[in-house]
Amino acid sequence: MIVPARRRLSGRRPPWTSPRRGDGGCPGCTRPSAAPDLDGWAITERLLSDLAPLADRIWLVIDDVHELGPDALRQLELLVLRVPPGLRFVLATRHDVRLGLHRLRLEGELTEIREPDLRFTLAEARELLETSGVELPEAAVVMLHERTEGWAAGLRLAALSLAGHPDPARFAAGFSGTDRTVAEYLLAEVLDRQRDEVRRLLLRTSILEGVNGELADLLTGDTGGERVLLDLEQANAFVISLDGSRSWFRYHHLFAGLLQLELRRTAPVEAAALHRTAAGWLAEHGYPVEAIRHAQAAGDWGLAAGLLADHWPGLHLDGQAATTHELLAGFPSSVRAVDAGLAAVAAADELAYGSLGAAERYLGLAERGTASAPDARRAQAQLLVGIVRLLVVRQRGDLPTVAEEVRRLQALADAPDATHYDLAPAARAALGQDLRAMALIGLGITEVWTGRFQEAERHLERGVALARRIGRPFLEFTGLAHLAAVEMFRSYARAAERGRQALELAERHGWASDPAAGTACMVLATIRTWQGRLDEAEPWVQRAERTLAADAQPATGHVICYIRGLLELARGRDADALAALRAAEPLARRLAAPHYTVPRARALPVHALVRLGETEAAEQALADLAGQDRDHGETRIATAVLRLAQDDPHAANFAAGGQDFLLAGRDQEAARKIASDLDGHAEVVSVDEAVDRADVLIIAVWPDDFKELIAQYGGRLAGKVIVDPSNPVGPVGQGGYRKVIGAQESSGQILAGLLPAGARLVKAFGTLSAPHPVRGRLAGARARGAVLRRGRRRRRRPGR
Amino acid sequence: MQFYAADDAAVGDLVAELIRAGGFDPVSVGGLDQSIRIEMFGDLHEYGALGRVVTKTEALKVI
Repeated sequence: MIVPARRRLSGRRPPWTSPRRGDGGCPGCTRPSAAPDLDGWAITERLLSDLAPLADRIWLVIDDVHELGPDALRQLELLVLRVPPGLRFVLATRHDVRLGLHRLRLEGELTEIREPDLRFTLAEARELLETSGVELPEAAVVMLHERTEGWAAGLRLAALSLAGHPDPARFAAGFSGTDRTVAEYLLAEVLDRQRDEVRRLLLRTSILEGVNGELADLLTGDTGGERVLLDLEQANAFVISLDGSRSWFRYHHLFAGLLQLELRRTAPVEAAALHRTAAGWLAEHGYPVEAIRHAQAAGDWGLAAGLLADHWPGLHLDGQAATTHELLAGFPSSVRAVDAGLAAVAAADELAYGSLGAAERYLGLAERGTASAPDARRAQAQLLVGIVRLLVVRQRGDLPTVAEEVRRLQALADAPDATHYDLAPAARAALGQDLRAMALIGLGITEVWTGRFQEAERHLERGVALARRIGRPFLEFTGLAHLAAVEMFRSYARAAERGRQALELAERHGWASDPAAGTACMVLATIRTWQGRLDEAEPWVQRAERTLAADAQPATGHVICYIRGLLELARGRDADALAALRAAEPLARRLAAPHYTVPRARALPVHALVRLGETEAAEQALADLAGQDRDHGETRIATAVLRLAQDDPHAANFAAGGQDFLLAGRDQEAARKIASDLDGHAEVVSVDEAVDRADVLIIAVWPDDFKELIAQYGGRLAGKVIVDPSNPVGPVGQGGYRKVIGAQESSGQILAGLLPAGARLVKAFGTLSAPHPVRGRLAGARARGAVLRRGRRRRRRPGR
Repeated sequence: MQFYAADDAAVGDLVAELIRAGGFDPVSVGGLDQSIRIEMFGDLHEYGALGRVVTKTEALKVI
C-alpha cells in the first residue's frame, strides 16, 4: 500500500511521524534521533503517562509502519492498546505488519483501508487531473486510469508530467512505466529495493502477461520463483495474483512497462531467447495463443506458423475468429503467403473479416504450398486445407463441391491414419469427432441454402447432437441457427425456439456478431414479418444487418437483404424495399447454386415497382428474369400483380364476350386506357355514377377496401347485386399470402353481413388462373352493368 | 369454368350469365356458406386444395 500521494491531495497536513528504516522504535517520540540510547519501552511508558490527561481528541499519524522492527512493533501495539480514548492512530504501511490489533477489530475500533479502497475510481482520477490543471479528452482519462490501474501515485506523477505538456492527449496515450517520472519512482521505491535474484526474476519474466513459479524458474534458470512471487505480492510490490490459489501472477501495467525497458537496457540480446523459451513452455502446457504471441515476439516465424497451424482447428471450432485474426496480423505478409498452413488460416480469416475472393486466393496458395510442404508438415497442411475448403465452398452454396469436401473430411474422420496425421490416439479420436460434426453442419447449411430442407434437417440435427456431446458449442450454435431456418417453413414456434437457443449460446460465448447469429436473427425477423408483427421484426432485422459480412458471406448476406426488402414491402415503404432487394442481387450472382431466397428476392421488386406505379420498369424486371426464376411461384404471383395493374381481366373477358358494361376506378385515365382496347364495350364513369347506374357491381378490391366502400355508399347499394371476388389474404412473402381472417371464416360471408338491406351478395370471379385480387383493385359489373375497379393508390375509374 | 356462390337463386343466375358472358362455364357451389370453398386456401380454389384450374366436368365432380 503506497498512500502518501493521496493524502497530500487532501490539502491538510497531519502531524506526520515516520520511523526510519532499522530504527529501534520510538514512534511517538517527537525527537527520535536526539536520544538514540533511550529504551523504547521506557519511552512508550512515558508517552502513555504524558498522554493520559489529554482531554482533546488527537490524531497521531504514523507512516511507513512496515519499516519498524519487531520490538518497535510490540511497543507500538502497547501504545495503541493503552492510550486514552481521545487519541486516535492512523497507521500507514505498504503491507500487513504483525500488530496484535485483532481485539480492536473485534470491538469495531479498527478501520482498515486496503488497496481496493485506495484505488482511484475513474471519477476520482478525472477530478485529480482537473485540480492539477490538466484538461484531457475523456478517452485519454480512461486510458490513464487504466494504465495506472487507479494507483494514486501513478496518477499524480502523470498529472505532474501533463501540466504544461504541449500535447497532453498524446502524452496520455503513450504514458507507461517508461515515463521518466514514473520510472524514477518505481526504480527507487520498488525495483532498487529488491535483492539481485528478485530483480533478475522480475526483469526476465517481464515479457510475460502472466507468470507462475515454474515459468519464472525456466526463464531465470533458478529455483524458488514461486516463493519470490508470493513474497512480492504479499509486500504489495506491484505484483498481483491472478487466481484464487495464487499460482499465476501479473505485474502492475506501469511496473511491467518499466521492467521491460530495464530488460532491454540491461540485456538487449536476451529478450528473443526468453520469448522463444516462454513460447515452448506455453505451447506444451495448453496455452497456444500466448505461445504463438511469444514465438512472434521472438521473430521465430517458423515456430509461430507451426503453432498456429496446429491449433487453428481448435480455435475455429471454438469460434475464436477474432483471436485468429489478431494472431495472423502478427505475421509479416511474406510469411503468410509462403507457409501452406498459414495461407489456409488466412483464407479462413478472410471469410470472417475480408472477402470471399481473397479467401479463394489464399486457399489457392495453400493448396499449391501443400504439395511442396516438407513431409512432416504436409499431412497437417492437407487437413487445414480440407477444412478451409469446406468453409469457402459453403459460402458459394455449391452443393456438389461441398458434398465432395464433406466426404473427404469424413474419410479423414473415420480412418485417421497415424502416418497421415501425427497425433496421439485420444487426440486423433477427438479430431475425428470434430471433423464429423463440422462436416455434418457444413453439409446441412448448404442444403438449407439450396432448399433441400429435409436432408438439411437430418444432417443439422445429427451435427448439433454430436457437437453438444463433444463440447463444441460454436458448432452447436452454428447448427441451431440454420436448423431454425429450416423449421421456419413448418412451425414458427419451433423455429423461434431454435433461433433463441442459438442466440443464447452466441451471447454466452461472445459470438453475437458471427454470421450464424445473423441467420438466427433473420429467422426471428422473418417469422414476425410473416405474422404481420412488423414493428417487432425491425430490431431483429437490424441485429441481423449488424452481422452482415456480405463480401465474404454472400449466402447469408443475401437472406438478410431479402428480409429487409420483405419487411419494407409489408410496411408499404416500396422504395426502401426496392433498394434492399437490389442490394441482394449482386450477392445472388456470386452464388454457385440457386439459393432458396434468390427467386423470391428477384420477384419481389416487381411488386414494389407496381406499387410505385412503375409498371414499365416492372415489366422489364420480369422480362430480365431467367427461366428457372420465371417458373417460381413468387414470380407467377408477381406477374399476376403486374398484369392486373396493367389491365383488367374481367373487363377484357366481358368485352370479348360482347358484354357492355361500365368501368369505374379512381384513376380515370387508366380506366380510359383499358376501355380504349375494348371496342366500345366499356364506358368509363365515376364510381359514384357506376354505383347509381349499374344493377350488378363486381367489386374487385381487397376485403378491407370492400368494407370501406360498403360504409361509404351504404343505402345506395340497396337493390344491387354485389359480386365479391375478394380473397381474405395479405401479402407476406414466401409463396406470397396468408389468410388474414379466421381459418373457418370466409370473406364472402363477412361482407354479406355488412351489406345494407336489399343488397344481395354473390361470391364469384375470385378463382381466375391469375386470380389474386390485387391491392387497390375494384371491379363491378352487371348484365348491362358495371365493372368497378380501383386503380393504384385508390384512384377509381368507371366504364361501360 | 368459374365457381360462384349465392343464397338467392335468381341473383345467382344473373351472375352465372355474366360468367358465361366472360367466356366461362358457371358452376354453382351452393349458398354463401359455401363461399369459403372458393376463396384462397379453400378446397375449390386454385391456391387451395384444388391446386390448379379445372374444367367444368372436373369441377362438377369435386363440388
